[in-house]
Amino acid sequence: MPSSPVPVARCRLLVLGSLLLATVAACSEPFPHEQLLADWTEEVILPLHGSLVEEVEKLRNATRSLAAEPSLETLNAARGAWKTTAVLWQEVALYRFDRMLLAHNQVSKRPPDVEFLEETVTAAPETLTAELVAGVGSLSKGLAAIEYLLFEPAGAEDWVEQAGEQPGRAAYVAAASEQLVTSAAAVRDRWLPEGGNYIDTFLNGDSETDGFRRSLGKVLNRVVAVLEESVREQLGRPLAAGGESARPERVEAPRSATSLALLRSRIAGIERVLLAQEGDGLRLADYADHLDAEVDGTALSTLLRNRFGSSLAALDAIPEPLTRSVVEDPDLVRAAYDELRELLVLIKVDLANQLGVTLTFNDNDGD
Amino acid sequence: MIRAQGGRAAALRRFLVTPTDALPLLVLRVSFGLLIALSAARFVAKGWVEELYLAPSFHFTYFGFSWIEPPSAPWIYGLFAVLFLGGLLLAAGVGARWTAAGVFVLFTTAELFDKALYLNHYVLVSSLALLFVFLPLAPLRGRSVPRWALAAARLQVGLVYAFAGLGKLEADWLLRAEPLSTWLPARAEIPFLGVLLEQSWVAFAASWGALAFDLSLPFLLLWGRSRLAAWTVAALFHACTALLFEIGLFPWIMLCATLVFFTGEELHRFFTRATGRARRDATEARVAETPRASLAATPARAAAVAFLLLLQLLLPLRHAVYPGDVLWTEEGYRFSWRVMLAEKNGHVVFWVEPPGEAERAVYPSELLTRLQEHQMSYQPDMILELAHHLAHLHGEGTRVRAEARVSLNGRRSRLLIDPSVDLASRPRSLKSQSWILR
Repeated sequence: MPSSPVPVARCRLLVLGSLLLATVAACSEPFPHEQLLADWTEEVILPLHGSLVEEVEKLRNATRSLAAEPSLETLNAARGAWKTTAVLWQEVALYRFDRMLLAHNQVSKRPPDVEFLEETVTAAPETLTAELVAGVGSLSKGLAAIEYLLFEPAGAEDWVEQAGEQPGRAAYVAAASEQLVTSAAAVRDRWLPEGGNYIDTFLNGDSETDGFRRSLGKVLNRVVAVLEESVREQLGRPLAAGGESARPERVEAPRSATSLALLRSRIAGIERVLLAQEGDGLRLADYADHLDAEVDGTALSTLLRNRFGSSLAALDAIPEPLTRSVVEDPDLVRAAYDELRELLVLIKVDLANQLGVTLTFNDNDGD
Repeated sequence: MIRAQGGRAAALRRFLVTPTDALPLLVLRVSFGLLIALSAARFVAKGWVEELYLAPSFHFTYFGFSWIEPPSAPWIYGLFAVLFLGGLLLAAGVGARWTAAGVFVLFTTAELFDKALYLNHYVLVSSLALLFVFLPLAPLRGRSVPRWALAAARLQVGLVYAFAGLGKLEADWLLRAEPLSTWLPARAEIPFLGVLLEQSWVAFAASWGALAFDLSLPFLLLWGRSRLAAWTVAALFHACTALLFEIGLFPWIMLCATLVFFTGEELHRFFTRATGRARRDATEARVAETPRASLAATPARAAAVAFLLLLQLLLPLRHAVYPGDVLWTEEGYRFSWRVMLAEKNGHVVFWVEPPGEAERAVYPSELLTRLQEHQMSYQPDMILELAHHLAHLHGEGTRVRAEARVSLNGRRSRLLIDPSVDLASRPRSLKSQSWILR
């Protein structure tokens, strides 16, 4: 039976087209988008959330000991545990996506409700339980409330002395820490497959949108929001014009004198999102390198690395507490402020422009 | 000579009032009405009324329209409900001209509520609705319309493509393939095609292909022999843009709008094939039924249509009277059909100095939604407007400077406006602004 020339020609065209596409595909090394998201979750996000729960449990144990036996030793142990947890929380808080706000607020929300706390700690200690704390507002529990009660401006000796007269203070700290274990676990569980399984949304997108670009946008949006808040609130507000016009009362954590440590942790957390350290998998800068993103001939990843280095060095140069530095060393604070602003512009403007990621996803129709 | 010119004018007039099948205009009107209804419903369903109109504490206004502000929730939801109904009525041809007028007023008012929401396809919707007010819109079982009505609608749609094409005749698009060189690799995770999107030659091919597409499409749609092929390419083109970019209803509006280029006969053939039954009344017979005298436009309506089309011709060209790159300064950018030509990102800090007080930084995120902040960060007139608002908030005599760093199409960020200028003292104006760094 003679074969028809038309189908043969069509088959040839199809084969040729497939070969062409395959050749083109073989010539290029596509960026492993899924791998970047997977490395973010496996190397950064999930370990951070796991560590948070561990540290909160240590805080719970330390505050239990403090409530049982208030002393300088147990107080310092509890304060140390709080600092470790609070510093770690700055990194975790970077991953507050979509509807996680309420869960995050349960872990930390500022400013604490001082009036409520001072009134509540006068109650009998046996009435101050984790169940009670679970029912109060987010400004009356979590890390900020614990900090308020744990760090008395008058000094550690006074705190221990007062604890004897007013045992409700240590009891509330212990109860709030106990409740914090539940809140931190809830934040972690949002990500886990056996919980909210947000990890799946992060890796694969939702029903309407693809995974990589949407998750990339979310991460960059949060990076920019946190960085801008750091510049504006953590350094800009207290510094004001510096010297006499400084507003030291506006620093983030005046009682614990950890404002700079918290800020540093936040910036270091952002650095971990963008830049891989030795042994790390893929990070955002690797994607930028893959796209040959550069500014005036210099790779954006190099500019980012340099800017993170100078920003963190500028922060390290400021002596804690920040309340004193904004008054006595405003130039050092100003230098760090300027560094962080440059870092913000580099990420929000230059990096976002080169990645083609608009930093405002409300999915309103474009153009 | 004069007699010859008069003869040509009379012949042109005769040609323009010659009856032609109303079906293309009818298809345009029906699809346009349905898309309006869909757009209104979608806006409400996605929560955008709340997010974009009710939640923001500040709205950017258009020059000369600062008196238009979003009303309270019941009124604004009512507006969208009426707009939805208007779209359906327009599609059904109920009181078409008055319905078109209502749709135009409501849709345009919603657009004017906030300049941060400016979109090219919103302008097209307003333009078409306004044009419909003056066109002899065919009833649902339409017979015929004068040729000028169809020509006006085609010109309106064709101008969008033509100016979109002309806008691409610039160095970034042609020589750097920007912003597609940035946008396409960002979509590289799309299965199968994604590998191609990371290739630089694809961005160049797409840039030059889109240029050729925009500039040639109106003509290829006008020519009968290439019409179907051109429309098929347009369908593929718009489907690709819908797949690759978040541009909502824009591709579908353009695809429906281009149907107006088909002749009544072609559309009849298509409907006959699609439905499997022939229409009772042949095109010629229906057209012949309409007396030519009834097709002539009233002078007022003809003048209105001519004015609208002239405006559509001139508005996109006004950037030529402003100095500098229109993509950078944005002076003359809006209403010019410069579609998807720029990837811009910016960051602005305002320095506010009330009388007798120290200067302090104000970050726009304290006042604006993220969408508003993003739009404002690279548009000088919006930066000026927010500076005026800040001056108003801090009292008379307040000085406001702005430090705006902007990146355009992958270039290093640089200052957009002179940071030493007190913007509070600079009036809003359509004139070129000297404080924009070009």
